[in-house]
Amino acid sequence: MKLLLTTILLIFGIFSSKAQIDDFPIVKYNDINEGTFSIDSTADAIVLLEKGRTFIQSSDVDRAYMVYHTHKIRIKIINKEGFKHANFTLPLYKYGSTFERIESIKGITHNLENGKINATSLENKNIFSENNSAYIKLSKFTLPNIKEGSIIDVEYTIISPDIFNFRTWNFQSDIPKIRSEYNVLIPAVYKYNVTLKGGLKLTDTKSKIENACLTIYNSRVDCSNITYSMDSIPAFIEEPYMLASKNYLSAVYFELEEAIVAGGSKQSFTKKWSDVDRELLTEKSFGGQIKKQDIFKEKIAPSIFATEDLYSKANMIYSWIQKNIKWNNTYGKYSQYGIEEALKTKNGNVADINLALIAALNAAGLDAYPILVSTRNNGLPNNLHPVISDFNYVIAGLKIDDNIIQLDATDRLLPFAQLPLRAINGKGRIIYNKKSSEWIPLTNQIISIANYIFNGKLSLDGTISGELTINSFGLEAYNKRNDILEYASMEEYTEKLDERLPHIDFEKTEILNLEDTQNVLSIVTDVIIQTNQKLINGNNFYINPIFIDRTTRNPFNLDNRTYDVDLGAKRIETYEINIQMPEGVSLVSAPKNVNLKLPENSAKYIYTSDYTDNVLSVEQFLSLAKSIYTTDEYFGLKEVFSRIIQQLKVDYTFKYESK
Amino acid sequence: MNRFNLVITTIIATALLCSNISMGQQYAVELIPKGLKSRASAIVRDEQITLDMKNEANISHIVTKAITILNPAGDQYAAMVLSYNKSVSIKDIKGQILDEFGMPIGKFTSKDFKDYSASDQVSMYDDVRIKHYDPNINTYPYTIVYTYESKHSQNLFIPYWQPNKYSDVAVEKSSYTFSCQPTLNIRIKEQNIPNKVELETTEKYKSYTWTATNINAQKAEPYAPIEKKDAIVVKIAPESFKYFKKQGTASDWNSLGKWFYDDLLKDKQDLPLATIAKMKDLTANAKTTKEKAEIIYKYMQNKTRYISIQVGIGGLEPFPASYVDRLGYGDCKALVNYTQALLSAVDINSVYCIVEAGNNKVSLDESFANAVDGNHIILCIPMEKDSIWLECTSNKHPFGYLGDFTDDRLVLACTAEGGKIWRTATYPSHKNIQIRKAYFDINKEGSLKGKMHTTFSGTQFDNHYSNVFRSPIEQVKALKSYYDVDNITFNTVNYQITDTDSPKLTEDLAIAIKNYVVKNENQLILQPNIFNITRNIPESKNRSNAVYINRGYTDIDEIEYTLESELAGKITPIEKVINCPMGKYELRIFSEGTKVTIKRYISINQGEYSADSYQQFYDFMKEVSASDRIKYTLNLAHN
Repeated sequence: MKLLLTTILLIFGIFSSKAQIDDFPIVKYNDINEGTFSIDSTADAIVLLEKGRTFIQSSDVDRAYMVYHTHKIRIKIINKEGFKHANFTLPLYKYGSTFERIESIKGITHNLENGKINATSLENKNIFSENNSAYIKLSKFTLPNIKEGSIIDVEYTIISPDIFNFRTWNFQSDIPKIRSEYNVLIPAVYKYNVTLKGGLKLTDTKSKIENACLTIYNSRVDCSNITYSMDSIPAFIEEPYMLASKNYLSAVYFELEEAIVAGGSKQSFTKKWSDVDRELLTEKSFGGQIKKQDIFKEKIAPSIFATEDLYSKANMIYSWIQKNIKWNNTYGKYSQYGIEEALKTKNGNVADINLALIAALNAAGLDAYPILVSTRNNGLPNNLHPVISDFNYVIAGLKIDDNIIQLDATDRLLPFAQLPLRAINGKGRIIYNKKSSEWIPLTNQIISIANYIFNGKLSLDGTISGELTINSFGLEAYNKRNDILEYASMEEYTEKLDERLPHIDFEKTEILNLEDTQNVLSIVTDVIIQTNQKLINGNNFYINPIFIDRTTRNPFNLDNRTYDVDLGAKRIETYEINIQMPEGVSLVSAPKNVNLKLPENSAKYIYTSDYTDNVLSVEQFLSLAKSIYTTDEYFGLKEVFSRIIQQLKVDYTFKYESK
Repeated sequence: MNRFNLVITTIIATALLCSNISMGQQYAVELIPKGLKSRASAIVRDEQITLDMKNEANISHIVTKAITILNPAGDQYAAMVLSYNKSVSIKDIKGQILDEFGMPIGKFTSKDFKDYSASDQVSMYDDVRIKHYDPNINTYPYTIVYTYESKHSQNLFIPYWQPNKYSDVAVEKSSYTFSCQPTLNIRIKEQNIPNKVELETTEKYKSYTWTATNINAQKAEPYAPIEKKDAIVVKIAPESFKYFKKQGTASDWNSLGKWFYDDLLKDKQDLPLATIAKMKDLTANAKTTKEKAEIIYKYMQNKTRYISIQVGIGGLEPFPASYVDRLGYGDCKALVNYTQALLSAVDINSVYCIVEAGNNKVSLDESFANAVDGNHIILCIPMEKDSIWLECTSNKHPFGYLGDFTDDRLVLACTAEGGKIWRTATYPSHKNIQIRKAYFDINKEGSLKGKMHTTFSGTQFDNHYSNVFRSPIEQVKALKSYYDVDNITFNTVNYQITDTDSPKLTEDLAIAIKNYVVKNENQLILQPNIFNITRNIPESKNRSNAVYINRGYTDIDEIEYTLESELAGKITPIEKVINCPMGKYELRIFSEGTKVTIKRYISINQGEYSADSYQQFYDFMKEVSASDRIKYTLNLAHN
């Protein structure tokens, strides 16, 4: 009997070792049978266990030291919505001329079938490799036989030539995790600065010294063996109007501070800003481009250079660059083609354009400096010490009278001094010279303005005719210009406007400053509005004078808010409406005047109206005085919009009595 | 001689490019004929497409094109997006950018192209790759001139010629030439061609050339039929063809369907014996074919999921049934083939059907058999009455439900006897119903609290169906977008599917809306229609296309409000009936004691109507839209 038992165990042992990931517990009946998890009873899939390990080893194939990243993960697929978590796309990057490789991909699906656990393995021929671009390859696979309740185990190793870089480990993802741990073996020749980002805390950190773990440059070095672990990690859920999720995800980051390189000398990687300043400004594709001022002395009209007013001189140069180099939709802080080539082909990346702008401004005798930026989707840059790879974008900082004006010429529809949303992300680093640089908040210095003016007259047939002017500036104008230019001609745009708002006829429309981004964009149009009510002696009639772009939906409709609200720019919206009524019209009732403020005037809403001499005058004013609101302020904002919606539901009631 | 032909076209192509360099100005914008610029975002100045079929496995496809981009809306037509795979290779890409005066400002070759895989969110892997180039020019107008050759090692898919496909692109000149051996039988379909084809025959080859000149851009019209009435199309299909290593002949849908069946499908139904036995076992107690099929369909849904992998001929040929049985996934072809195999294990005959999927009801061209039509596969179980149609890529949808993805259109059924043209299940307007009934209490502050019950059926079944499977947090988020009302909260959410003859989704919600009714002194302002407010449709003056309504529907809404206090007198009741050929609308609003009730009915009928009837439709929708927004000022009785 005892013999039989051990034999069974042995057979079982053999079987399970085949369909098993090393040092993961055996999948048990209850693991699959279990339906809900206390951590998140509503998840579609849940990570039961995740283990990562990074170490350096000499690789015979590559004849070099390589970093090995091993990743093991066990996921429970709870329902059909969770099936997508059985699909894997793993990017492999190119460093220098070498691509990272992926090895030992193992995937096992465990299912409960007729009371027994059945394991199916991923077959090698079902793993695909795709050349995504010149720099990225993708390894793609999906696990077989996925069902509701399946438990999947996946293991793979990525071998990377980028030996200075210990990858960021994300504890948090879009599904909850019961446990995630990351083990690193850092040789004593490296010194890393390790930081934990995000709102969650580590459950545990274990570290020990491993003696002589690696032979490097013919000597044995010790390693620090550190394990970071986190338990009960909730899923990360994105919200509208927020910065990149990367800024909020709980993760551990490694930055190399110094390393002992061949020959035994120490090389510092975490530099002082002064080192970075010098390096960038001597770099050919950065500082080297800024130096090329002479090109512009030939290309830009002398009359521009001779302009006296510094502000308008800068403005003209800015427009010139906008017109002469088109952005190729590539980010970068280093010039891609060089500014000469970019000017010739009228095409370049962000650095080609904005470094050219700096050079041109300098050529005109203005003080302009590069500002390093990390874009919104790239996350916030490290603000403790310089991490050059955090920055993926560059803009110009123009200094006039001790003010720094932030400029980005990548988009021809951006007015002078306005930044595109992608470049507004925390702080940027302005580099004055080889010895000095400082942090500077990236903000939209231009307030987004929408202004509606209407002067009209009501006729007895119930139509209101008059002149409507819609002025916009800043972000609002930028969005509108983009919208208008979608159409083949202005006529077609106004035609569309006419079709979109059938109760309003746009008779004669003029668009002013469509391409002149420095000025207010104005749409001036003669309109006829149908109220669909005839004025009948002795009867009431109703008018809602905010007849265009009326707020009817609340942009802030969440029940809870976890992260800051980022609007990208401050905003002001105003309406000034005057409607002349026919003789014999008297006001019966009107919406109440409103004056609403959030603490510190961070948002304001004012609505006033008046009826004198048969003229109805309505003024509405809304200001959002901040571009970023905290989660505490969210409900204030929500309430302001809610009050506006309610206010605008109320019509004016008039009575008509002919004499 | 074929070779000679190629040489000629290459010379023409090179000459064309060179001539720009030497003479310039040929494409100066001022040379564009008057009138062509009206409504145009871009103008094709000169396009020459030549297809030289040397043999079934060797087609040289040369495109030479000059297109002037007038404004940013036309940038999309300057982009070059060329796809290639094992059967199509692209070579000799050369191009130039010209300024307004036709002077060159830049040139490009294949090394300036991005090269990436065509696989996207939908496909896990696709061996079709894309070469992509954007000229990125900032100053308008500009002209892009280019030439390239693509080599096809198959002749099953010959690209169509559709010079006026985009309404905002005008055409100065476009030509399309097809040449092959004189003895070959080719089938040609021409539609709205402006000039007669030019035929040239020698001993060695015959060639056909179609030309179109001076086509104006047009205004895109709302509710236009799927195919514009003046669309110029030339389709070509050789009677005998080669695709990867497969050979075939087809002169009509019957023979093409037969080829699909014999060469791509027939031997793919290799189920393991255990699975066959299991199917028999599962259906042992089922009586009818329909019951058995439903059991098997549900088994397939639980066993599989949709994963698209397109490799080589796999773009046309399904993976065998054994593959899906082993791995539990597949694309539309593999899943249909698998389901077909499972059904035949219990002796149910079913048919693999090629369909053009999408909300627009696009039928296969009944008059012209070709392999280009169709982008999806569904399964049909032929029955004497009401055949059963199965969408095999959804592991959630009810048995026999196609919805608006593949309904009511002609498909190619690939049977053992050959291809047949069948029409998929149709959902008439009166069966696409949404019925909603809600009860709300209005308190003194004007806040609403109550319950809402909605059922969805026919093609409307899908309206909120995806929400059934979301987590409670995500469900509420989706509900906030379906019912986008300020201050709305959902306290209970409940979905139920009844799956009798036609599936029905029932949604039960407990809803509260803070301050929905605005209080102004002793008045309440109520817009009784909260959830089903129709938008206006755009105006369409001087219309040339017929009015086309792709799919009809019927919505019935009723909301009963109960106020906390009595109203001072009754509200003026509303009773409205509006009719037009495209639909019917009824609205009733009335009060009784503390209750205000709104009843709304709208039905829109699918079909095609004359161009001048658009005004009637427009007026109808305008009045519906205004009626849907009616507001009431309720005067409360003083207590």
